Amino acid sequence: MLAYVGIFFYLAGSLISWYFFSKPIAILSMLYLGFGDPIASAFGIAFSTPWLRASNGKSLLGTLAATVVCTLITMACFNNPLILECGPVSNPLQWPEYVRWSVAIAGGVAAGVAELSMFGMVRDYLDDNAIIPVVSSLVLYLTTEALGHSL
Amino acid sequence: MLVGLHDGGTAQRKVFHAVNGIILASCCFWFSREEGTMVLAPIVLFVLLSEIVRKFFPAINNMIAAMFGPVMRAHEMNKFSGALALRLARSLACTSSHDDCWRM
Repeated sequence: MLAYVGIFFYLAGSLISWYFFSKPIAILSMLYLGFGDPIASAFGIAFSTPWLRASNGKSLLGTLAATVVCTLITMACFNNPLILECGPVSNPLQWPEYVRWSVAIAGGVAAGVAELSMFGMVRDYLDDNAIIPVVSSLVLYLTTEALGHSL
Repeated sequence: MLVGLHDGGTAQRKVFHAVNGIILASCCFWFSREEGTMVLAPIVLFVLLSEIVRKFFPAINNMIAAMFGPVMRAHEMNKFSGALALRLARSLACTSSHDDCWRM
């Protein structure tokens, strides 16, 4: 097996993100990548309970922690006027509260599940550093579009 | 096995990961697509080439491991590291910040 094959899948995934997602979504996904992954790992190590681990070794507590942190990161961004500097299509500061929480939770869950989803061939060929931004960007995009508040 | 190499869970690697995320998000926030491309694309190309070269030249692999050992996983010694993926993600996300290319 060529260990570096995954990088090509990574490049493909990143290029998809590059072309398809807006600046606010790209920033959120990179914050997920920066904080969600290490926090999931730290929690997974700190609370190393075998029965709370998936078969790929990922900790469910770590996934939950990453989900919560990414959700809070999203809400912090949505409540920060600086997000307007990114030129969102609609103003998240004026979104109804349920929309903001829905998008934040969807993004957080996407980042957590993306981290958890490293099974089988996916794990052999891909790095979660590549999966997290692409999957979370896609989920953020679809969620905002579905709720009628483009980001 | 190189001295100083760790396998997962090192504090240094997590801090490195988080700092890179902050830098990445900041780049996306402040810089345009052209600026991000001009600065980061050559870096990414260099890192990509160094990853390929270290795959085939153990001496270079050892040199890179000595520099980045604390932030690399053990298995990354013999394959491409996550650092490359993170830098590529940063570069590509920054390049997506151009006004005309935000959406499709």
